[in-house]
Amino acid sequence: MLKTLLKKQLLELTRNFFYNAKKNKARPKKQIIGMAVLYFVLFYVFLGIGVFGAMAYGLSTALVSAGHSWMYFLIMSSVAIVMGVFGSVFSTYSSLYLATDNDLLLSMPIPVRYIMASRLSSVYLVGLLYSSIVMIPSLVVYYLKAQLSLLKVICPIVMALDVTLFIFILSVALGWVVARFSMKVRNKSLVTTAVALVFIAAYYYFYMKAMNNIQEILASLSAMVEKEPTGIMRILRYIGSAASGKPVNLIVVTAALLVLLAAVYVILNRTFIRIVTTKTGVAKVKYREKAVKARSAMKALTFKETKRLTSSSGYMLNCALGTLLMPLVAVALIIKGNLISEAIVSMFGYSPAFFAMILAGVISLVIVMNDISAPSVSLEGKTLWIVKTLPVSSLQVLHAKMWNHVMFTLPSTLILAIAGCIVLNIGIMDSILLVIFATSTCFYQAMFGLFVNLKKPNLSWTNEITVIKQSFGVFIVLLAGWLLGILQIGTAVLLSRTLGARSVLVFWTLLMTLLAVLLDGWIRKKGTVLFEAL
Amino acid sequence: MLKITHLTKKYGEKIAVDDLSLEIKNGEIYGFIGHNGAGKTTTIKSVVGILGFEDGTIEIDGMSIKDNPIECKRKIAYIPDNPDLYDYMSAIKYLNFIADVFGVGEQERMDRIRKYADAFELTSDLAQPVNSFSHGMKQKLAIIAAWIHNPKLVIMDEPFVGLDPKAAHILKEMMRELCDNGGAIFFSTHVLEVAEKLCDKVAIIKNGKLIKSGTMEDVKGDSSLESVFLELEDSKDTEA
Repeated sequence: MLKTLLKKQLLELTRNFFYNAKKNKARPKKQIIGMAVLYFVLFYVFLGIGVFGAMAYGLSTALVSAGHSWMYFLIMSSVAIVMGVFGSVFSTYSSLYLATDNDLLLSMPIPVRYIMASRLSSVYLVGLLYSSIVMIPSLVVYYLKAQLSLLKVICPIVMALDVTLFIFILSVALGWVVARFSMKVRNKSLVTTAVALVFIAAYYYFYMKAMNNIQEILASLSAMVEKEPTGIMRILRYIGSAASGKPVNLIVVTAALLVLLAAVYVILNRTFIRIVTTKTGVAKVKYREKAVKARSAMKALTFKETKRLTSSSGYMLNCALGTLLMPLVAVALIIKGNLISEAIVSMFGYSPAFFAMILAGVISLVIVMNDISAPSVSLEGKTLWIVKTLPVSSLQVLHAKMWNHVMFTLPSTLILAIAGCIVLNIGIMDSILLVIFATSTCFYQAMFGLFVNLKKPNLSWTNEITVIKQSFGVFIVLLAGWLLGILQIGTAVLLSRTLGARSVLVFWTLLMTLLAVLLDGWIRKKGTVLFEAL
Repeated sequence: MLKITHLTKKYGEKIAVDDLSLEIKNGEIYGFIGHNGAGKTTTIKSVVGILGFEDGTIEIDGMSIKDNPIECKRKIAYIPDNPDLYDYMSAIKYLNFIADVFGVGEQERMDRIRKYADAFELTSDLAQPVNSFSHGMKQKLAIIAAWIHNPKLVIMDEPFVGLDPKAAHILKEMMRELCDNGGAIFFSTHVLEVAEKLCDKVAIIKNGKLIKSGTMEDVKGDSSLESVFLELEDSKDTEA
């Protein structure tokens, strides 16, 4: 029975991979292999080898070769935990408690622990996938650099599994906390989002503190070796050593994690049915008639999209974090602006246009945290019939989705752009260019999300998180956005001296505007046809 | 009001609706019956513009749904077999959203919401989120939303499923009232007693083909609609 449930969960997670919802049939083998290769290249070659492999290699030279493997594993495991938590933490609550087939499964003669286990399996798998992007290259680099023994081969593998276990425990604990809160409150989605953000903020606060400690140690490594670490560093060293061939440490760390896991399981098992079956913990609100203000069809459609976003904590946390993050980056710029500009000046010399171009790249990197439009077509799900039978054009429906994205993204983007211009003393001309760039990028991102979702829609989900977090389309939008940001920063660094930073900024501003216009044209012509065929 | 001419709809190689022709005039309640998978829902979804179709024409009040989809949709209302509504809105927000899109005036919509919500005893629940509603309550909400813009043609797929007897009675009265005011109703049902009592005309579909249609008297004669339906279902070759 558990096997059947796990299979069902796995099928749901990988459905888009094997099944073409648009054509209502299984994908041909060649297409599946093609997609698998693409995923592999994007995840393990581009991110795994290109980013984390390079990072691991750099660290290994300083740490593994010098005999400080514990520090190497501590840093790489921390990075893997950040990746894994980012990947799975926001989706746990929805995966566990909001699946639409919970009622159906509970009505069947299936032990609750089996239902839980199957749901949790997808949380674990997502965490595993994200953390493996860091851990696999870390292990490979370690095996290449270290003098190997049997223990030094086995211990890192067990440690990598421990990392996945830790991510899983963190994610599940957050899911449970959020569920407990949402049982008691009326505006579940906002409270859930707030609780999750507080949890994440606390997590990153402690993570940053730990990283600061590690940086201090890295800075005075030789002194560190001679001195025995104290306090939290002692614990961290103990954990790091577990991976570098100390079996006793590894057993202790693994046992501690298993105890934590058991505790989380007991809590979950005791509360699962109550949380799943408690639809509301608040009193009914009686309707009182009051005057309403009529809106235009377009405003009504946009309101509908806004309501869809703000009613789902999963949607907000996964696709609208940039709304909060960009003003935070702006604040960070205001506080640390001088340090950043000094660092850039020392590396590349002073040029306001260069600052503007770097800022443009940063905007592109951060703006992808808002991918509201990317799952918006799929999120129509079984309610698609409503917009299809209303007297509105497909273009109006799609534009409403675009405007919703822009409404939640553009103000924050402009705050970041303008704050950056002021702090980094960017001149008027470059500031204007940057504001145009930021606006175009925002529109481009909104329309690119729609483009990808219209090409890869999934209307038959049973859990919205499948399309919000785990869909191929959302991943493509994120990756394309990051690539764009890296390219922009790369061209700024490489071409500014020869072509002039302003020329590079003008080029990217024009390109982003052109891309936004081209995508709008595609949505008007082909996008509407694809939408009508859904 | 609704004229379907030689409608053919395929899913890949499979023909779901085969050369179907029907005409529904103002003032008529038209029932559409057939076995599961006969092609009723496909026909209905083609009429309301959810599905495209390969051959034939569908005209609503003289306009083609293919050429003038928005104008056609202004005149119709659709209630699907499963009321999947926007769970994330409250019922009143959902009704106002539909009214906004159809351009229903403020006073007009308030009057209609009051009238129909009171009739279905749903008024006190209008502030509740749709996801807290039972299947029957969602069905009532879908009916109120359908009637909010005073449509000329209401198309319904199994509208009585999930409704309590009182609500089913109110819906029948609403259907009759709409037709008395010059509108028309086209609906599918498996409840043959309802179709027999309520419909002015009926069409029977089998394996995508229309096998019988006309006034209730023409179709059933002296026997019951149920016996005619079962007889037609059992026969191998049936002509319309």
